[in-house]
Amino acid sequence: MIRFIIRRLLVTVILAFVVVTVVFLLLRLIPGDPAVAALGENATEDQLAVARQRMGLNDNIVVQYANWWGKIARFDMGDSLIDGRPVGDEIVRRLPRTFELIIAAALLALVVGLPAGLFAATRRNKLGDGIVTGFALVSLSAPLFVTGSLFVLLFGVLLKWLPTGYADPSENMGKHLLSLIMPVAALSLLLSASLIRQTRANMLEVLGQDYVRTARSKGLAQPVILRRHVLKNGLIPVAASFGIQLAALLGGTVVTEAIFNWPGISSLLVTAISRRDYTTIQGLILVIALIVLIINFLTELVYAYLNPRIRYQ
Amino acid sequence: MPTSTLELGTSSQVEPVAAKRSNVRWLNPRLVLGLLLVIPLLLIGFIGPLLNLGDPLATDPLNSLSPIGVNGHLLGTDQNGRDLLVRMIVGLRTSLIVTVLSVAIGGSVGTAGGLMAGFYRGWVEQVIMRIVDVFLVFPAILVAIAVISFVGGSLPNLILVISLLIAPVFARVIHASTLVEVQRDFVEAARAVGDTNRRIIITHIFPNVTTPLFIELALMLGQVVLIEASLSFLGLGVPPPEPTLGNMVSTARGYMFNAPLMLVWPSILLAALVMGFNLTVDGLRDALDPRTNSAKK
Repeated sequence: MIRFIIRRLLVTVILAFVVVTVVFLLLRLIPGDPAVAALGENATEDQLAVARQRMGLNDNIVVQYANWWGKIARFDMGDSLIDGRPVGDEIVRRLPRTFELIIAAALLALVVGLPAGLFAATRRNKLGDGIVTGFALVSLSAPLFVTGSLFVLLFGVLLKWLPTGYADPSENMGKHLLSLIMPVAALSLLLSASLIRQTRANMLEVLGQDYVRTARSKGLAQPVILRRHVLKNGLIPVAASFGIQLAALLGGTVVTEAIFNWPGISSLLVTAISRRDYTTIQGLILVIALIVLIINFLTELVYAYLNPRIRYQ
Repeated sequence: MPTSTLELGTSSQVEPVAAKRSNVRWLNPRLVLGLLLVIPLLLIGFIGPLLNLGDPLATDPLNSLSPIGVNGHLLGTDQNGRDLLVRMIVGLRTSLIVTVLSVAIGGSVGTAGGLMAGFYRGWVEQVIMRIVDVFLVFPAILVAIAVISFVGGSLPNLILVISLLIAPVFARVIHASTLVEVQRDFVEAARAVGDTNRRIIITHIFPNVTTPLFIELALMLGQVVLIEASLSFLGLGVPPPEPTLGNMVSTARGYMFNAPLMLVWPSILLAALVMGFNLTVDGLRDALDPRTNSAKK
């Protein structure tokens, strides 16, 4: 296990190195002068000079690359091109709000997805199965921005049951929790749907195994078989895909935060993109990519713990 | 299978087993329903814009935000009085062009890579599959957002970036299937009679990996529709005033009080398109994948 952890850690570090480099190169992908792209054709030469300075475009590319690493090492991601404030501070301020969304959505999806998938598997091809798998299919098919927008339209605008924006928890905790409902529900839909499908498919596969038939033939009760034989074996692949889905959830927050005016890091990304605030975009992409790497690393550890075969590959 | 909007699913569970033709259940309800959704939408998207329905950009300020059926606007108009139905059909075409071309390019590149990696093994496999691994670490939508926000969202950029992002998914699936096929006797036989490597790959291995390939293609079509739509929604798609389903939803959010239906129409169309592709995938799996088949009996 130790060797496995070290190997995965090494891979993660290499990937992190690649990420930092690619994010550095992104700015150089902009066609033409990045400073002009950021400020528009009407910017004065002084403004452009300031922008070039902030984006670190003045030196030769090798020096820039070295400086970039130096800044990363100091957790300095530069200043925003728009308001001049440090990008890192803004990200740190907003990060907890994004994590709040992700964690709540992941928990909700687990609470909904696992039992529903199990339920569908034990009632295969009956009405209950049909309803659950139908729900999963519809949730998977409607784009997040569509379901989110329709939620706002229905519960926020037409019925006026729920607030459509963010409420600060330090001011009004009750309102904050209310404002959490819609974004979390929308964000968790996809994850619950894929958990349902995954759980159902794996359970069905395990239910067809010989050892389940053996357990049945020696007279074990259905709940005992489910708990002792089916759940344990059937949930391993679900756990693996859940980790991958967590990373996907981070992608989902981009749309979710935009729709529900949630002031996390992902809505900052959307704002930064629309204002062409390239230093902020760079910092955000870096942070998001590193979070994905950490999630993946932890997922692999959990998976290896659950499934010993993986460790020896 | 993970088929969320925001990351690409790999159908790693699909195994290349040559299905006996007689056992293939083409007439399963999900495949039929899926194709009933997809085929008409494909026809509308590709043929509709050719029928001279009107200009999707033509504004009519006197009839802005008009409801259904007023002044010949079948589904009403948007805030500039542009016909919603015409815009939806043209937007559908944009979605389909991006989707079909990206999946075609990404699918070809990925399949070629997967075949080569699985056939030649050694350093070829190492290089190709390590690149694949790196790509698949990150949710496709995040990478797409990252790259497009720097290079800009134009039709060619979108197609290029999305193809690049989905090619690794195909490479991984085809690689896994190729590893199995390479071991089979007919490959040995082909080698014995002196077939070149290229010929073996094209005439002996490729035909045997088409089942997972088709399933993956259908899966990716749905995924790419979602990616393109999400990018448009975030303002990273084909730039306005050109209509796309994503930017129509995005615009409609500003007029929810006055014209809620403006939000509903493109939403329904998008959901129907993706659901059609998803049903088709499920149906194809039911028909071609013996594992799910036997589980159903």
